[in-house]
Amino acid sequence: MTWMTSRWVQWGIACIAVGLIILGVAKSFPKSPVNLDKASQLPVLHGGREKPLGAVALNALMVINGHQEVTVKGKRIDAMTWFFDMVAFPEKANEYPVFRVYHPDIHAMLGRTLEDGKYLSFNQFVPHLIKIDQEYAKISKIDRNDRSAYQRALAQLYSQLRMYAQLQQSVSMGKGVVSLEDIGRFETLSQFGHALVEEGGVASLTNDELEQVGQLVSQFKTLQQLDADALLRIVPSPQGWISFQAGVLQSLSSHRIHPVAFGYASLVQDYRKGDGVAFSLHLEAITKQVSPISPRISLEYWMTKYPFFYASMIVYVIVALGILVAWIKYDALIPWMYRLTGVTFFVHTFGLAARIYIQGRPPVTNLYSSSVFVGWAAVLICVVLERYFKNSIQLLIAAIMGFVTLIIAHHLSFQGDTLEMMQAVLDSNFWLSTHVITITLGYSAVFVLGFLGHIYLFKSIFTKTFTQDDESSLYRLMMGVAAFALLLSTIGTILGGIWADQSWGRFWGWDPKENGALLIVLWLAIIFHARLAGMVKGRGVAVMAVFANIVTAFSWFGVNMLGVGLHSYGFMDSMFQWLIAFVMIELIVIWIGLAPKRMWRSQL
Amino acid sequence: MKFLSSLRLTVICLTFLMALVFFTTLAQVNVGVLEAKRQYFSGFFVWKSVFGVTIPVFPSGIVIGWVLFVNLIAAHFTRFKWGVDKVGIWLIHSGLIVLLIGSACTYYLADETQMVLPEGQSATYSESQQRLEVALIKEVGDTHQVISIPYEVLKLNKPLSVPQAGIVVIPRVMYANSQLLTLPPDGTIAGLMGIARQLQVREIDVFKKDNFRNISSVYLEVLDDHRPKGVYLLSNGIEVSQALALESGNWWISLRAFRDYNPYVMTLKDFRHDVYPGTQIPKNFSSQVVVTDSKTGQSFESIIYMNHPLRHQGKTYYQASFSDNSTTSILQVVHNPSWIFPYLASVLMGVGLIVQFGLHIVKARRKKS
Amino acid sequence: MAVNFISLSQRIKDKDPQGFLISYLQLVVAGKPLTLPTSDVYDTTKSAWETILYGVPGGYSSLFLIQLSNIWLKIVKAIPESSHPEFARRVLTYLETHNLSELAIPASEKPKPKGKTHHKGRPVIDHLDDHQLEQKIQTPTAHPTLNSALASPQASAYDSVHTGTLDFSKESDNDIQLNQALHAEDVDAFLMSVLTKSLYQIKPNIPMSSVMDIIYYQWRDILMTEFNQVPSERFLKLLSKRWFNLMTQNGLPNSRDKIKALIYIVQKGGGISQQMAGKSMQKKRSWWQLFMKALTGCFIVSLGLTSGCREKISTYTIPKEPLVTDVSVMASFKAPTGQEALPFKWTVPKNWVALAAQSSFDRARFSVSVGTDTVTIAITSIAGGPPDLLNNLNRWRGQLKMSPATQADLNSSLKSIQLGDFPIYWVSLSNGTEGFEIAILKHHDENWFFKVSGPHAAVRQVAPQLRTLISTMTHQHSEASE
Repeated sequence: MTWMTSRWVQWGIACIAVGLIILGVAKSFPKSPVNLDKASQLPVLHGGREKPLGAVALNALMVINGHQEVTVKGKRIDAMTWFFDMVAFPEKANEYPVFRVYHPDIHAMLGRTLEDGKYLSFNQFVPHLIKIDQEYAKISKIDRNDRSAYQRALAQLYSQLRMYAQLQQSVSMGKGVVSLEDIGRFETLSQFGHALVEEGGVASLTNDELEQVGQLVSQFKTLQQLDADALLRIVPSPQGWISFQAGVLQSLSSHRIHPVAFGYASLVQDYRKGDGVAFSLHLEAITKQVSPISPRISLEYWMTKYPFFYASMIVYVIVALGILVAWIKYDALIPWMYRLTGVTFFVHTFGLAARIYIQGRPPVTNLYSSSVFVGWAAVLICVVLERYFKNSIQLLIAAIMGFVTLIIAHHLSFQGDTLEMMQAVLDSNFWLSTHVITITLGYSAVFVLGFLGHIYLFKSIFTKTFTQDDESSLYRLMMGVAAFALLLSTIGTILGGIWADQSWGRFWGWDPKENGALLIVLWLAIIFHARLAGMVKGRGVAVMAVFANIVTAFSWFGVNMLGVGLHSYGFMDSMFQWLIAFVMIELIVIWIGLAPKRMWRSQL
Repeated sequence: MKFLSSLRLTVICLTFLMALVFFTTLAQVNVGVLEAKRQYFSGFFVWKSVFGVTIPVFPSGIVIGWVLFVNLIAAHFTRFKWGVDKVGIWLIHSGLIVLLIGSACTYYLADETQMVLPEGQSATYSESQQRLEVALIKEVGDTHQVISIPYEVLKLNKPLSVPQAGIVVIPRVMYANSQLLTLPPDGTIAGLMGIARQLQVREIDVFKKDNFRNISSVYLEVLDDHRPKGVYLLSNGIEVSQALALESGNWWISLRAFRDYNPYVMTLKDFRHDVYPGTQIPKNFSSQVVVTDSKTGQSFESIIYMNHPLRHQGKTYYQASFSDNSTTSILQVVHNPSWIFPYLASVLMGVGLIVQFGLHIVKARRKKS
Repeated sequence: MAVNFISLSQRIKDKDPQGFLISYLQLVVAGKPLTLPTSDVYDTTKSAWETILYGVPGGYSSLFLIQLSNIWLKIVKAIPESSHPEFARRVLTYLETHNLSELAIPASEKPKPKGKTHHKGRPVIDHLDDHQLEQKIQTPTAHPTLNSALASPQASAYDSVHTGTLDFSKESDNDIQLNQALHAEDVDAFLMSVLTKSLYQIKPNIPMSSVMDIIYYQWRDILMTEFNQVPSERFLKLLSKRWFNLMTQNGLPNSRDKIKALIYIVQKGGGISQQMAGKSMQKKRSWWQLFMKALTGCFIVSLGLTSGCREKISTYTIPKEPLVTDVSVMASFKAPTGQEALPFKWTVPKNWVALAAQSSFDRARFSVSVGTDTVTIAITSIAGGPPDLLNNLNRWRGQLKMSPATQADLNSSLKSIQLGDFPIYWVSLSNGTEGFEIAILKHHDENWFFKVSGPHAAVRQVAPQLRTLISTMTHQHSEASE
């Protein structure tokens, strides 16, 4: 079938395949009278930046629950439904077992055991909230590295509970679910108060009127407190985004409650009644008030709905498996795998570009984005190499690296907002785009080198078809990639030193992160010098390349975990265990690689 | 000599250096950066106690650095081939030499102190966080004449002559970290003067972690022109300056953090700590300061914030930290005359790497065609 | 015999320029994209053939090139140029009917070796380059056959090394020696033969690198392609190492002189000879030895200097500053850290003296004098789950330099008692000289430790005071700490 080998047809089919996968993992909303999809596009301010409401809900659920949906009595509830349930049906939502708690001592505090289930509801914590608050006050004084596993778990629980409570108050007057009557009454009261002030004096008030003033004052206090504690700011104003409560308080100065605040309160009521028509009407009204909506927010909505990185990850797995199958039997699969990689790389790039646009920053700003970028750069390097050394080895490496980095990123995304605002000391686009990018590119190059080393050892030891020519071309490839990695790592480390000198007055402070980068540079330099000294050749360089993987993994992740022990709970701690597992595997590969050459199956 | 320029030595040294860096990083978790640096990089060896005996287990960072330096220079003279295609390598390694020289200079010459400035207040000096000094102060008209004796100079039972005050001081008892007790002295030392008569000192283990301050104490015997004046207790756990009547005048003596006085006054007008709205994530730390020259009275204003230090008269002021509910700004003051070396080294190494890599690619392309 | 590239190399090996040309042209006629030189100038033709023959495995001798060029020149002059394949066909026909070997080198008498062969015991290494050689052999006189030309002692124009005069016939002897050396795995003999052979090659086929593994791979290639040998790993390693040493000590053999020098050195059995070093190298060495010694001196001095610059007494004058001179001590103690409102109200015995806190976990600290001894009481608290008694016990045992206890020992060291309103775990430890008496209290998910420490007997005396303090302790309402 010659049409199957036509390049255009292959590209076309690959595009369709990837498109289908993206659609397959897209977020869907359950059948419901209210249009939650449209609601998830509403812009709000959270974590210091504007984002769609859907992203806030999803992120909060991920942080608290560790999943993108919560399972209640066997049924799966998506993030937006959960959010609206929290605000509109608090009694019901507070029973949902959303809080994921690993540490047995916390369960013990509640009078139960871990075996009874990992997931707890908000109501189960209510009787103990004061205790948790006091405990947290003490723990927060202890240095993070010195905290015990229990203390870390409790601190995490505290912030999750707080986030939950704050989100629940996003559209609230302080007593239960917000009602339009409450709002209306406050508006009337404040108008009355205004009139009072204008007329001048409390002296002439009747008892009834005095009572009304009293109510106004107490409501004012409540609203002020809620405003000070607000996590989500949903009302736009000339001074920036303000909270719902501030929008209500506005009526004290402008006679009217902010229309967006009113709109949100209406939304909550519509949701309670299940009135889809009114819900959509009020949505439109709010949208008109907050227009024009920045394209960044729309883009983030699309990114949340269609998880590009997750889809890319799936395609990379397919490619990796495909190449292995192709090596064993069906050679014809290779060009298809190449096309798939190309399309996925495009999707991967698009995802990164979208992040750059949304954040207004260079692509690498935190651990999550560094993971995505390492994968992207590795695939880029491999695609470039594939043009010069046409064997599918590079493609396999690209697929493996793409898959592994994206799965790490996926797990990291449960730590919080991946597009978070930068801390003051890191707030420099120049250094972010030079030092950080160079170092991360260096990581990619080293990992490519490491996997090339794996392939070299695997092919030399276990296959019979590895010839001298294959060996020397793979060897030359390794040295070329090593040179590139050394170039990037050294320049990146130097740039880091200069940034430190500009920021803190010292070029090198033997900080763990700096030390990690230095270890990579040193090891790559050792490879080159050992080769020049005649101490190593093909096999030696391959083994050293595998060790370089260990050094880089330590530098990238290990230095963030220095205070963590083996017996801990929680995310960073499970990452530690994965890191140890990775190191063990690489050491086994090195040990195999050092086997005497007469045991090698290939004739080298 | 052949050995000194050999590549094998380079490989061995680089491997040793890698191991050192790795262990320093691990050690930092328990004992803090400064102590880890001291253990692994200073002196001749790294000492560890094995089965109760403290033995040298590894050459220290400084030794390895020097051997690498010598090795590099030796290789330059013997092995390096001078040719156009080796320009890159030469640039990289000469950059490395500059870096090593620079770091040696920084190690010996650089100085870091701290200035704590509450809002609205001024400071004429910055203090060292590690070094202490014995300060002898005499009032002379409108000024204070200060004699500063660095604490490191004091050696147990070794007389130290301070000709500026006409005295000789002998430390009789020295504690690196101590506890001061409000008890009458136990009578082991005779001739106590000043607050030594009201306190007892108990020695405790030195704090190794970065955030804990050691309280050093010393019983100092003072001889004024060979006449004994008594034994004074000095400690940086007490802010008191004790009176010392000498032939050369009335002095006040105390033990305090080493002070670096400036010929200018720094005043904090305003400290700002901005967070992103609705969060606790710090957006910005900035200190608005006024620097007034002590002699001429001329002043200028400057804002110090992250990635934007103030450079003035050889010192650089960085925004380091804050306290007291964001009303006190803490500035890090760095004096590093050899600051240019790392920049020079970076340029050399960067250019060298790019040139070398570029040549590599050009050669590979030529081979293909 | 099928015409292919291998037969071309064979022809070169057989030193048969006519045969070579025939095969070459047959390939051209067969459609292979090969170049044919078109110039009628000797030098240009020669360079053109050089370019064509570049990279031929096994190389070619300069004599072959000269003969080839001469023949071709004659052809080009005889046959007019036309389109490529047509021209080739015509030349083929011409060659098949003419024997151009008459253009081969004429013989001449055996020339005497120029100058002396030995001087002061060392062989003279003569300089005779290609151009001079060509001058000698370019003038055709008689027309002997090619073979006699080969047999001629023309080769004696080449330099002599003390093993004797080399000539073309001897070249095959060289090959034999080479093969023998390979079989015997004699690195030095092999090197000698290869280097000698390379003297005849325009582009000597020897590794031009001083990087170890490039040398290794190139020798492997050369052995396999030129000599059709699969060398043993051991031989290859020794050969590469030897070559590496030669390269690093003598530089790359990029001229005939250098090749000759190498041959000499290999013969001598390696090592730099002092005479070869030359005076300039010696001068360089002594300067840099001096430099190295100075550098080492700096190192030692600088380590001593670490105590140098900072440790000087300095004097300066500053404007007057306020001084704290009040020696009444209570006013000058640094405020204790970590002092929050205590959740307990306790009565402190009169002889307990309050002290400053030493760490952020200290809630209170006292010292008590018992005769000449002093006892310290430290009250600390830390948040956490139920107190880990065994770990704490072993920590204290460690502080007293006692061996660790097991879970069983725990029960004997620990007593569970009730003091007033509080259930307490009481631990008594002593190592003979020093002792601890510790009360552990779990209070609202905080663990409180009341620890009396000091000389053994004094601690025993103070312990009852602690018990009284705890028994009479009452809860205090505290503000919720922020």
